[in-house]
Amino acid sequence: MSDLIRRRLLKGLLALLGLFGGAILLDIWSGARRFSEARWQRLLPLDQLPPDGVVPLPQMKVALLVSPKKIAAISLECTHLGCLVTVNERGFYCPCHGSEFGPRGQVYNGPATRDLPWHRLRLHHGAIWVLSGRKQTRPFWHPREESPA
Amino acid sequence: MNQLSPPRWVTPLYIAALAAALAVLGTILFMGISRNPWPLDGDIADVTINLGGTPVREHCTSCHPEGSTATGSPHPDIAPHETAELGCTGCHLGEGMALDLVVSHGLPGNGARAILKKKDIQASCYRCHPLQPLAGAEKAWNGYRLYLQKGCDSCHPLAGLQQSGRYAPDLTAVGDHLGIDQLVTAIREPGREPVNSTMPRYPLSKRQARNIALFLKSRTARPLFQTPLAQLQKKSLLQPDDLFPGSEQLSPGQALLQRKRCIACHRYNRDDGRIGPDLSYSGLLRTGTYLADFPGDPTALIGGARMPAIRLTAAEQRLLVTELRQNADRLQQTRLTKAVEGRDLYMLLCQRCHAADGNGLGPIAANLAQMPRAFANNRNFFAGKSDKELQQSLAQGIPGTSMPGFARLLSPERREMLLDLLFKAFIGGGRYAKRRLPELPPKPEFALPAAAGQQLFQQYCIRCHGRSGTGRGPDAARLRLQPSPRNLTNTGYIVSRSDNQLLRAITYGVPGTAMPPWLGELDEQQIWALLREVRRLSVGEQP
Repeated sequence: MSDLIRRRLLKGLLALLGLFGGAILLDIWSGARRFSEARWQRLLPLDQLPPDGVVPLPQMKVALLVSPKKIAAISLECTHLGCLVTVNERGFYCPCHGSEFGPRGQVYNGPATRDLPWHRLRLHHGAIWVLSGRKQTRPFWHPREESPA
Repeated sequence: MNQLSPPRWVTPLYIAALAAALAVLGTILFMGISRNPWPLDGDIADVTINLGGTPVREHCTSCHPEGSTATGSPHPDIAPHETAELGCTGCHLGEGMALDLVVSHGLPGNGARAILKKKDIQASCYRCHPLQPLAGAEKAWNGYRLYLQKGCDSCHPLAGLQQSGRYAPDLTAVGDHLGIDQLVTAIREPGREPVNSTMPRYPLSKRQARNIALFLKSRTARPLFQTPLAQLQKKSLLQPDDLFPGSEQLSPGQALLQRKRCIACHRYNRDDGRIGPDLSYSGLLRTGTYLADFPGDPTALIGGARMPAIRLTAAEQRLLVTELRQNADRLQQTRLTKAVEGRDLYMLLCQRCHAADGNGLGPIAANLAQMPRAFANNRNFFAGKSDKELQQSLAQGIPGTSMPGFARLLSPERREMLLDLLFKAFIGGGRYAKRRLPELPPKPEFALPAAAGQQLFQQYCIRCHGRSGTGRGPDAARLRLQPSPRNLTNTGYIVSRSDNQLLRAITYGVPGTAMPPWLGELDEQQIWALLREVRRLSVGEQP
């Protein structure tokens, strides 16, 4: 009788321990993908910007699309395997597998299936900053004047 | 069923133990979770910042987005710096990788990584910037000036200074080990940790001590934005030109005393460092060679002196002696002639060490190598000294101690006046009412071997006088003996004492101190062996 109770107790204890361990593992698992490397990085001073055109910044893996009124930052990482795409007159071209993107990053051709993503952008202390490490699918256009914060 | 079945109470015990274990586990988890106001749904920022080539990884911005405070107020504008580029821990310290409220803000204890808040942040400016006046870091710069003005570098080594002492702990990387509050405590209460610290207690205000702490917090072993090569070259720290404002109007001798930071501790006329003896009269209290030699090697002339060695060139030595002599001459003719009563003389010349109420605990007594003799409540001691001995101590001083001879400064009548005053005001019982001294043990026919003396010393004396006889035995600090046990390695003092004087101290003890009479415990032979051992220790002879 008492043997039976003890056995049942032991099983209950083991189950509880498993529950606790599982909860801890679950917490780690869910926490692991919440780590975000996103941070604001300074690109270049505002007065170095041309009035119009595309400014590639390959070391930051970003290109600035500039118009007289507004700016946006597009990622230069190919959506296929992450190569650095180059800027040409028709848009963007990936040298690794020949993917081609339009002037706004739309997929024209090649193994890539998704458009180039965009970065958030802000003007601060007379320089252009982008939020690296976190991308979005829709373009983020920012006016060329620094807003009086 | 021969098998022994467990008693009936075992099962409920199992259940109780299990419930208790679960309760403890649950409490710990609950406490851990409730202590951390962690944004459970948001992202955990995992940012790596490049600080002059040093990668610094931190999670701070999970709770402090863009450097805002816990209450949500934004980080102040710190242009030309950018919070996004410098990160948090480079300036504010703390443990950037921790995910716990207490740990991430710097563990308590020594506070080496304790968070720097608000105005304390200027402690970090000179971690990267070279040491020169900097807008916003005025307090830390002021702390550096105080560091030099108060002569901290006379004892403490600090990398980058042209010249610094090697007497006290190295402060080159002290910012890596102590927090600001701990530094302030170490400056304001040196004797708290360790208890046998010889650092004097500087008369600094709380704000001054904090400024010095802000400067010291910036001293770190691995300054950011400095390549190892630059560190190797150890760019020298800037010495401010105007360290002592108004020094142009001083005479060369006075300027020397200021430049060598004598006045940071000593008193000289109106300037008072409130740590060391008064130098105003020392030109007539000590000989010229004594004054010239003393700064370079204080412990050679006063055993156990705490003053650090101050190197002087021959020209500087001459200048110092002339300045002190002229000043003492001048004071002898002005201030001292005005002091007609013994009381005035005592307050001018004696109270700094022997205290105004004669208990030997004057304002600087704690900083002297040997505590000054107490006059008040010390009748037994003085009743055992002949008047001639006392006269001689006052006129010639006591070699190897801070007691100078007043023969040249005071006329014999004035010295008599002082002695009369001591007995009348403090000692009591009449100057010539002496105690009859008991016989001293005669010199034994057969002396014990030297080894026996050493063994006796180790057996009876080291608890107070220390194994090497420096007067710093374990009981001296533990029982806070006052006056402290005699430093037996003080050559100047012991050599000046006659055998009879030393024998009397060993045999019958010293009244007014912790030295007990050893006559009952030891026999004549042993006492004489101890005398020989003391003589050996005093000259540092090898056994």
